[in-house]
Amino acid sequence: MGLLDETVSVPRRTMTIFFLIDTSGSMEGNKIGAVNDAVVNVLPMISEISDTNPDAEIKVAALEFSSGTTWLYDEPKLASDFVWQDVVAGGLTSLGQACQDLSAKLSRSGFMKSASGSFAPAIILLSDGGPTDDYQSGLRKLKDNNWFKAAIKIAIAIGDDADKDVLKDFTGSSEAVITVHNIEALKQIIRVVAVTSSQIGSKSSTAGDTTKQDQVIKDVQDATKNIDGAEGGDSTSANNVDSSQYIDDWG
Amino acid sequence: MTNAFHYSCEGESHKATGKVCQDHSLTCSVDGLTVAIVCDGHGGERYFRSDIGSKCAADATLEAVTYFAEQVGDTLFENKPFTAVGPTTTLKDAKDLSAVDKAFRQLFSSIIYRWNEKIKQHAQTVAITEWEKANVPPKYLEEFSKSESFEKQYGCTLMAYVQTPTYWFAFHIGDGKCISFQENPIWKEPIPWDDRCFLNKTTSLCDTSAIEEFRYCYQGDGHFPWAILLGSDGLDDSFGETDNLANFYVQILKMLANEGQPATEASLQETLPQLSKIGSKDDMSVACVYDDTALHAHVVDLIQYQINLVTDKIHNADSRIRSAKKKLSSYSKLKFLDEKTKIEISYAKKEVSSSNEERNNLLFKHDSLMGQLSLMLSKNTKE
Repeated sequence: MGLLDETVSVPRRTMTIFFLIDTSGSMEGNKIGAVNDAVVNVLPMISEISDTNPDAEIKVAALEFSSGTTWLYDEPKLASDFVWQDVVAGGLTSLGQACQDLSAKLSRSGFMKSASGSFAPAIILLSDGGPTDDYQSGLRKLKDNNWFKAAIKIAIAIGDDADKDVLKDFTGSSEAVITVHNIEALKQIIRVVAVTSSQIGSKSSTAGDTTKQDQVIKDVQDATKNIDGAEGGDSTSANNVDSSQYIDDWG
Repeated sequence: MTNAFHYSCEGESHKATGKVCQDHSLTCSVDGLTVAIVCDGHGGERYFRSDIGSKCAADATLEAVTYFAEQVGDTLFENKPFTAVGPTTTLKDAKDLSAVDKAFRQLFSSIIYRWNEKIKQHAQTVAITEWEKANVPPKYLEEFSKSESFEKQYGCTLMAYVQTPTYWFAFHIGDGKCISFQENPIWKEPIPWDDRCFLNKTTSLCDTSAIEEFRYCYQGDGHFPWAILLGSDGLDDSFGETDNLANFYVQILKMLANEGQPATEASLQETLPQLSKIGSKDDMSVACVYDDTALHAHVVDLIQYQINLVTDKIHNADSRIRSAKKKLSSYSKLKFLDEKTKIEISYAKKEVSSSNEERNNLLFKHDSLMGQLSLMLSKNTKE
């Protein structure tokens, strides 16, 4: 009899990446098309990171919010198993409701397992406008959630109409808000943010005392410098790009 | 007869970065006093001497609890039923602290004081090493050089179990898990959890308010756990759910009963590095205290516990299979399948397949455990 014989289970540790996608009416057309396209393309990359990572497996969950909210699946799925269902734009921007729903799922009774054996999740919020509901009460509730507090949080502001103050409030820092101004930049940033969050978030150790959130922000900011139509952080960000340099082009 | 043993090993991720093991464990059983201690030094760059800090914490605790046991005698805990106290922040201003609570606060103060004295002595006698110069950021070395207190550099968690012939108690600051085995329920976490220990965050001996972060439990009415195991968070994180960790401890206890302590210790020394590699990658520590006679009397209960656990999992797999088949059946009545339905059908088929595979593995485990049970029952009958 060995101590690790057939009766003992040693599950792989888990890290969950959440996509929160604004599917309001203003996203209709190229924007939502680019989001669908980018997420479909990034899933195999996340799957590969998960497969080759000895530290943890990566699961994916997705919530779309417009006049209401819908989880694409009722549980997080392994990146390799996640079949993306194209989301369709239409309706309002219920970010507050999305925060409430996310908070409910960031719990043992929701999508999360025991904190032992888990890594903090990564949460990627994409939005092109401002909330049309009482987002503050939803976000207040979310901010009390221990999983959310520990999470890597990055927001992608799609165009100049996105309410960056709200996104900054969600992520906790303006540096964690990346603005994109065209379709190609949107696709590339989704890939960079998802891959970077997966790589850093699913590792046991961090580089020095830097938090995973800070590492992700730094790597994403660095990558953003090379993407035309994308700008990282606020106007005082590392790349010193003034947002007025770009004009939205969603043609 | 009460026995105790412990083992700590370097984590897989530490091997890769050349870090020493920052855990320290200790057990001893002398003149009726049995003590088990597990300390886990923090891994961050600021805590660059936490391996020494964890050893100092274990030594300080052993000294303090030995003195405590000599001083309080048997009366403090006499006839006291099992009592568990969470982080004592809420107690600090209470005017009506019980004699036991006051005694524990004094014990924790003594541990913190002794730990501080030990780390101070180490800090003042061991200059910054070449390895530290090469691997620790200058700002932390500067902080160390200028400081007169050294808690952060030596920061660690602490968990301890103390047993005398008439009472026992256990206390904990930080993460890791302590699991006790007794009549009913067969296992439990006797020390209340602290919700501030979450993911990679933990309370610590190096916190300013460390004394308020201790939580503890005690009992003096003649009832004792027949086994208790203390494990650092490297172990806990490898198993995820506490059920899995407890099941690993059940394996240790079964091996102790069947093959004896030397074989079990050897197996543990072989297993923990493997577990670190496939699990948390962190340092691993286990300290165990057990009553040899009671352990042998409970082997059947341990096997029965594992059988029940596996049976529950088989029922869960059955339930998932039924639910997925029901979905598939409802989809089969549809004439037109949209894209979303096709995806759901694919998931339901995968669920049936993976749950069936899991069920078959569980049935194999169940048969193996039933074999162990039958062997043990026939052995008991012959005896």
